[in-house]
Amino acid sequence: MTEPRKINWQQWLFILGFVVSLVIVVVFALQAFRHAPRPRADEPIRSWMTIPYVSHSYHIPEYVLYQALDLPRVPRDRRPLTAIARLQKRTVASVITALQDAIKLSRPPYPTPLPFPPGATPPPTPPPAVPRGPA
Amino acid sequence: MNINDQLLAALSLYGLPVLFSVIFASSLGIPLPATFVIVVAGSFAQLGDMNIWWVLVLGAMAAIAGDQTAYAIGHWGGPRLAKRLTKWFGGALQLEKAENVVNRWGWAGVFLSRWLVTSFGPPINYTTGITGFSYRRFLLWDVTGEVVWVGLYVLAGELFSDRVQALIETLGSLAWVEIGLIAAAIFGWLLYRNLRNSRK
Repeated sequence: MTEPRKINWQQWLFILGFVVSLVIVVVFALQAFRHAPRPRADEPIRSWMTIPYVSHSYHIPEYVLYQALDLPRVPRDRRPLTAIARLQKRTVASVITALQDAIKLSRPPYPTPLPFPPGATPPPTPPPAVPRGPA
Repeated sequence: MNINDQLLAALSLYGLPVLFSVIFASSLGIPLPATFVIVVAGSFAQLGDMNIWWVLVLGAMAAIAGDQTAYAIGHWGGPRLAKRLTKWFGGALQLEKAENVVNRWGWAGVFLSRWLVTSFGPPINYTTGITGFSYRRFLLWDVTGEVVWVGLYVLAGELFSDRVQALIETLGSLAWVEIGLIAAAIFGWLLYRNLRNSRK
């Protein structure tokens, strides 16, 4: 009968490293699967997002979101929500809440709101155009 | 607001200069989310807020310029530092072995760390410079890898342009999966070698 082989401290260390690495692989693979982009799934609105991006992500017309924030539709506003919040002297959280409410009210069972008729848009002060790189 | 959100907000405000700066700095080893920035730039390109060709060209140029700078720093400053360290702490033989490994397998390390295991990119830039890895080979595999990186991630940003936040979080988790797999392979190989030697 052969004696069971003894494992030295170095080999234990490698086994521990191997097992910990596999645990990391499994935990983060599960997390990746949980976060994986799914069609038609709403993702949380973040401060870096722009109105066109939120509109694109939530499949909501842009004018609904501009109206919710009392912004003019033209020119297309490419600023992030954090910049809009700063301009309107409000918190980013309140801007996000206003957008979430507008999105909720423009989806079934509610009818999609109509755009303001031309001339009736109530922009308090049109924001200045922001310089950008070549578009 | 975390650093990722601040950089992405800056990207939507200022566009290409932010894209270039973040990618360049990240290639030097400054911990900035270059992959997130290039993915979001792909999404903005899909929305028509950024020009896709500018994103591709400037993204690749920034990455290549950063890599070349890191290689040059390693090349000009590294050997002197390595010589001093080995004089103080020993390990000249190990350094020579490392140089042999880099010269033999460096091209694969350079190429794969550009687009697959991106967290290893900056250390490999400096290491190849320090160990005197052929500059021509470094340039060839660096340019090839960075073009693949920019193309892949901009395309991912375009394809998932309405779900970028989810994509960013998935990519962040996948980076850890890659690191875990590499670590498991290294520990597995070390264990196998150790068991084989102890049997002899």
